[in-house]
Amino acid sequence: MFDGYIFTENSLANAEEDGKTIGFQMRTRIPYYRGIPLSMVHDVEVELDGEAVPREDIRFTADDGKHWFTLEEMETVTFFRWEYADEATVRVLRDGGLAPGEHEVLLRVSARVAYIPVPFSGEMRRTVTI
Amino acid sequence: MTIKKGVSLYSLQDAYGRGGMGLEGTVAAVEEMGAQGVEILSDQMIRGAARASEETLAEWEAVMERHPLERVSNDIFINSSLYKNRWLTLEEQVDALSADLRLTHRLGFPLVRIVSQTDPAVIRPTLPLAEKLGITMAVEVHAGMSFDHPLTEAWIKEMREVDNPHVGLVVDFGIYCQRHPRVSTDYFREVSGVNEDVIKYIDDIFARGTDPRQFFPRNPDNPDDYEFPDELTRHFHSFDDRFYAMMSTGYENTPLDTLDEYLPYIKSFHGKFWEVTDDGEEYSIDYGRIFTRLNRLGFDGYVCSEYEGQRFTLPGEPIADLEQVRRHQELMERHLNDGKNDGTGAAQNDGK
Repeated sequence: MFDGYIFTENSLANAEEDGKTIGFQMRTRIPYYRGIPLSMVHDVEVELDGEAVPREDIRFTADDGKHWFTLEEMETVTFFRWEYADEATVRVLRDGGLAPGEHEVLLRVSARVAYIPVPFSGEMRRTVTI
Repeated sequence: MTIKKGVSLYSLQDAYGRGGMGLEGTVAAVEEMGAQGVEILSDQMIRGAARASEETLAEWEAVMERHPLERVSNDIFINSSLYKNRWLTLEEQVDALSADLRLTHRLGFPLVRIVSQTDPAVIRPTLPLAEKLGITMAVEVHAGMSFDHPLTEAWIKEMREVDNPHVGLVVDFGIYCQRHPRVSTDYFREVSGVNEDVIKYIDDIFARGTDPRQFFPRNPDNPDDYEFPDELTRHFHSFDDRFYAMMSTGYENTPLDTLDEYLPYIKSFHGKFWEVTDDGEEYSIDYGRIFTRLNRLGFDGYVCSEYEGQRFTLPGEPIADLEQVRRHQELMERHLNDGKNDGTGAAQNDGK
């Protein structure tokens, strides 16, 4: 029921650092209705052309890149909040980024909330052209 | 003695976030709709929440000066699931709640709505601070976990024992549903292809004057686990059919007499709604019936519009939160005096 908040349309692009394409990234809103500390982001999953991206290749920022975290690191990040109003960026490390052409990308984000036993999640699949 | 109309900014979360209206835009919209009061979720619209900067707090104050609405309640949540590998200890939960009480005081609200299923053991350790700050702590009585849910019962037991005006309840109108919300049905029909036989089975339960939560036997060891009868499960062809049946236990047709019993403890209401139809009424909840009872009981306080239909907006459709809240305020305005003076109109609206 939060699917519409996941994977902002037209946000996918290759990620560059020091003139080198190091992967690809996309923006997303929170699959929940309030801001939460990053430790409560239960999981972030990406599938590229039907194949799950390794969890350790995912990086996450909720403050426009001032702080990047791995998903494992995020489990202990109880200070920084992903504010409800803000989009976070999910980056997948991959030398050279996405090859030119059409790709199918799935993003799934889950938040572990205080009082519901099952995490809230949302997912969105988009066909993107690089 | 009168019912007052407020809006929970929860209702306008989409307009606030994706819609880019921001805090002042949403507060101004609420003012423009003729509401007297406003309710917020500090975790949603106050950047930094309990660690909000002085600048953020000053901005909130400036917004409220420009739009002078009564501050009804701040809805807070204890992040008991802050860590992946363990639940917060009671002491940590008390610390978190205390921080939110201080924030609520800074924001100028006299009431915090504490989310359902909060451990009532937090009450006694935080009560001295709540009293000092002049803030009332009220647990939400929400559909799916209303008065007969063990955790709500535990809170009520503790509330009665503490017997302090700073501890009470916020009741959500979602416990007084007489039909399954139509927008939810349409959503699951469209998005998940839920079986029509399952939909009809659930609708029929409501049509008998009860609700799925009372109708399905419950696992005695787990109040949130329901046993579905064979005549229903034989219609389960996919996970979503079962999911729909499970979700239906989140709407309750609790007897209205519960208001008579609990009104002395009720600090405020959430005017839950999913759909105000074109004829101006809520599809599942008969506001005339509830307002009649509240006026007979002499309730003096707020009912805050709490729109939940955004959850069931079909993919690709715009979320009509502003329009729905505006309609809901008009609905409440029309029913404001139902049941007063005991006239014939009120008798018709009694709904008994």
